[in-house]
Amino acid sequence: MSEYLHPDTVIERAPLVLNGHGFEKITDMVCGPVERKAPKWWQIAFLGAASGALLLVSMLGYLIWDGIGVWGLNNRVDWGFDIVNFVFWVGIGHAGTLISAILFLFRQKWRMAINRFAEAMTIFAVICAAIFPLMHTGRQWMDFYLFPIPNQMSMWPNFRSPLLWDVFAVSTYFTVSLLFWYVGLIPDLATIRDRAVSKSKQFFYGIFALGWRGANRHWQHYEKGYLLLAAISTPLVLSVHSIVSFDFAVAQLPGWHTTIFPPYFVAGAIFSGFAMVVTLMVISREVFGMKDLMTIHHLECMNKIILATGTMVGYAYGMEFFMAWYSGSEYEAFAFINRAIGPYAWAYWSMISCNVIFPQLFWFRKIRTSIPAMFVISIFVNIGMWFERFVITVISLHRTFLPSTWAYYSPSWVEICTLIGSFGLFLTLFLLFLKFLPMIAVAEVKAIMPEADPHYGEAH
Amino acid sequence: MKKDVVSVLGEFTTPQTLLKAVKTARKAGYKAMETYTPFPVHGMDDAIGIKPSKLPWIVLICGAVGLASGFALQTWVSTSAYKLTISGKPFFSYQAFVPVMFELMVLFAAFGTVFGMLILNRLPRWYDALFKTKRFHTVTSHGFFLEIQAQDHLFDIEKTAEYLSEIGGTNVEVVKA
Amino acid sequence: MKHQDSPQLAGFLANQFPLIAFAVGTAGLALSAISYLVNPERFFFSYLTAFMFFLTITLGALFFVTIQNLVRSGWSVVVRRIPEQMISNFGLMALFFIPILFGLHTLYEWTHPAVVAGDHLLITKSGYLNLKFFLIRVVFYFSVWILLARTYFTRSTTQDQTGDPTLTLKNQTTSTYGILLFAITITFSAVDWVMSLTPHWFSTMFGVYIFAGSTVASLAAISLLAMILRKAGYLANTIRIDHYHDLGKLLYGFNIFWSYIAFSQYFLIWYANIPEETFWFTDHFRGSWNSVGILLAVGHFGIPFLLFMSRHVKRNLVTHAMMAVWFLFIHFVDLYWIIMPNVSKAGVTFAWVDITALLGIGGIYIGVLFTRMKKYPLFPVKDPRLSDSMHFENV
Repeated sequence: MSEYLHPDTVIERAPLVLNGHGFEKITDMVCGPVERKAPKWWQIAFLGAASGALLLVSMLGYLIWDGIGVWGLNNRVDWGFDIVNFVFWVGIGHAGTLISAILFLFRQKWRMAINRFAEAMTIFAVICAAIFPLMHTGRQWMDFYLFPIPNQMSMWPNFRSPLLWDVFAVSTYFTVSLLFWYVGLIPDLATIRDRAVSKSKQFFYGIFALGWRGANRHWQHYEKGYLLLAAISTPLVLSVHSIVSFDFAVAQLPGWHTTIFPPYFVAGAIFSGFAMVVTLMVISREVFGMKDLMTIHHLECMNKIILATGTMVGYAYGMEFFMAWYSGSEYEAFAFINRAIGPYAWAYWSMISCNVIFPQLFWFRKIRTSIPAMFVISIFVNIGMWFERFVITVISLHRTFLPSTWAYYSPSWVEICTLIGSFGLFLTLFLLFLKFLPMIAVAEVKAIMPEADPHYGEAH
Repeated sequence: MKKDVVSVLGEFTTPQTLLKAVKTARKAGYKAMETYTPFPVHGMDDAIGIKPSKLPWIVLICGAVGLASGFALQTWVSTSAYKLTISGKPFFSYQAFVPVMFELMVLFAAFGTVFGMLILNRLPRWYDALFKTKRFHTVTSHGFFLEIQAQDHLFDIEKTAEYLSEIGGTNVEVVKA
Repeated sequence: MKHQDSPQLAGFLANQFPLIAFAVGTAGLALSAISYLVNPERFFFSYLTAFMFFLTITLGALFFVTIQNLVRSGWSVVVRRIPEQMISNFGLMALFFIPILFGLHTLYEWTHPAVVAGDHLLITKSGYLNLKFFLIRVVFYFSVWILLARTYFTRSTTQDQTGDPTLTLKNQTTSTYGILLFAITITFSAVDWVMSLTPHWFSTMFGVYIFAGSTVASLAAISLLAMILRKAGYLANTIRIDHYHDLGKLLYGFNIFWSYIAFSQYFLIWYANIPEETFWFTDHFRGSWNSVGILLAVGHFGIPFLLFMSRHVKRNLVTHAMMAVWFLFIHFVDLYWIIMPNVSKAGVTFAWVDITALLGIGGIYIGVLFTRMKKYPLFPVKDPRLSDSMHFENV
């Protein structure tokens, strides 16, 4: 069945694995890239990404050596690229957890083909995110004060500060995502161990496979554990971006303080994360020949979620604007008018067009299923969501209650290079993942194939 | 019966035939059985007759401990160890403790899940007799195996091996420690 | 395909039960009318609370139908007719809105030109909070709800006869823009009818808060209605334990969502501590209202979170029924706590109109619901995904 029957036009559900591959073939397809030598394009891409990561390292080195002054922050705008990038990267990560946990609880079987991929993205995005707050403290060697560690000065962190909640939220998020990802990987690592020809591979993958044998008693606890991890990751993913939103929303600053921030940030995070997954998936399925496992149907489902979350974000923008007027508070109203027509209007309108207008094209099935169109739109969404954080952080800060303090913030070259470098680090880690780990959860995909149903082949 | 014999292993080609074989063997009186599959097969727990996992209890307890320790830590730090007067809020601002309590609850519960699962499964276990058999490496790709273990009261090396091929098992093999 | 269950409601539930409900409803409304003569102000607030209780349940049912159509859900097909019947009551809810129109001056201070003229904030808001625009919006909300409900219901019941699968796809298409209309109407109706009781106060989260409560209450109501039918011998093999388990999971999940929204709204206002917002919570924590607030924190979140966590509670119909009843009760408490401090300012005061208004609207609501239920099959008998739904197993 090579022809793509659009699922919206038929009652039947779209097949999740195309061309009727058997279990063994699926194993071959997924493990292939791990077992073969790295292709030329991978080596070139890796060099590019690694030099980006190197740029990041040198920028951070320069920052530590010289101090925060190398950034473009000023007295009025004391949160700039550092916080914008932090929120942006944490948001990117949310798609992974959404796919691995929430879609799992909703029995969305199509998620099986993309969850490994998206979870990897989560972990790398959170690593990129964590760099920024750790660096923006100024004296980075004192960062351990962020954690409640007993010390000779008997000092303890202030638990009523939202910034401390971030420390707990982000580190918990990273740890739990890593555990979830690793648990999912165990059976697949065992697959690679069992197929490995070289002793070193056998040993290396064998260590991490923990001696997995696929025993039914193991599967029983494993499945339960996976379900439980999904159940506890779901509120976790909501909490992380909610807590990030608290950083802003507990303040009294117009444009920051509004009650809809927590769910609005979560929707935005999922929105941007899904866009990033689509961007990366469109490329990976092409170069690794995974089109039968990551089908157009998968991508379309993703695009529908982008449309839905994009519309939720639009709803939140609308509510903010409406309430800014309805509140009758002139400071509130000014903050929003300043966004739309102030000196940073260009950022605001980039955000609106990328986040609210372009994704609406996904209402059309033709665009939802067109690879070039979704690639372009997903990149727009990434840009738009970066600007959203810029709008919230910088535009709200640059003109507050006291007009004599108003200032304009532009990033220095160090900040721009740090942002570029963070993409380098992200891609480096991602390329390493593509090369050394199975990018599709083999065991999970097999379990949702019709042949895996214990009643397969029986008449109803 | 030889002492170093652990079990007899038979291979099946599909999850359906394996499930059928397990049901047949169970009816025939075999109890100490285990199946090995590349993915979890629905209905196998009932077929072999194993009890539901106890993992949720471990997770529940760990989560509760996390929640309680989050609350205790914050209360102690804020009201006694290091009092700070900030934004006019009381030292014991329980509302502000909620985020960290929640995160610690999740963190502890997640540790409980993963390590609880590994302990219940007795993993890691890098050496196992099964790894020495000829066909077992396909179990993580497309092989479906039924193992009848030596501690079963009906176990007899030859008869059980014969029985395994009778109910559809191929490449029947004796597993030795 | 063979259905073991009869899709046709008959006997007590079809004949006597609606009559009893109508009788209770009429009595309730009559008693409430008497209370109006005694204390009109109290009557209108109590009536609004009862009205909002049934309206939010119906809105939650509209959300359920919309979202299940939107995501091409298979498992929920057997359950879907119950919320479809509930949303057909929007016309009735529109009738129940008429008494509120007579109480606008009692309920909403912004309807008095004299008050507005002396209040700078209300002058600013008068572009939105004015009688004419308010009435236009009332008509708009009810037209949207009635039209959406009729569209889903008509297509679904037509399919019972024709078995035409394209009707399922058409409902799917309607649900795409239906969800947008739903979001807009539930938000602004919450602003208009509840938030503007305190016209100075504002919260961007308020629409989401009402939405979260609606879904919790309507899922509880759906479960409860299904169990009532089951008790009378209907749908026992159609809506199986697996379906109750899923309804229970959704109920549990949405209740955590409610808690999250309620906490965030309170927390952000508490932390920032800006007088223009905090006064709402001060008013709603005054005197014995504080205890109601604590009851909500414990009863809407704490107790259900612990007690209803286990799958056994959701799969055992006795405990499941208790859970559903509890959620309906606590949802009423929630609305009561939002609305009533506007009239009973010093603390909780009980008036029997609180109960009679609830019984009045509820009796008629249930009477109409069951009268309509006997005219249509109890589950979508020819839905193309019916077999999916009947055979689904829950882990």
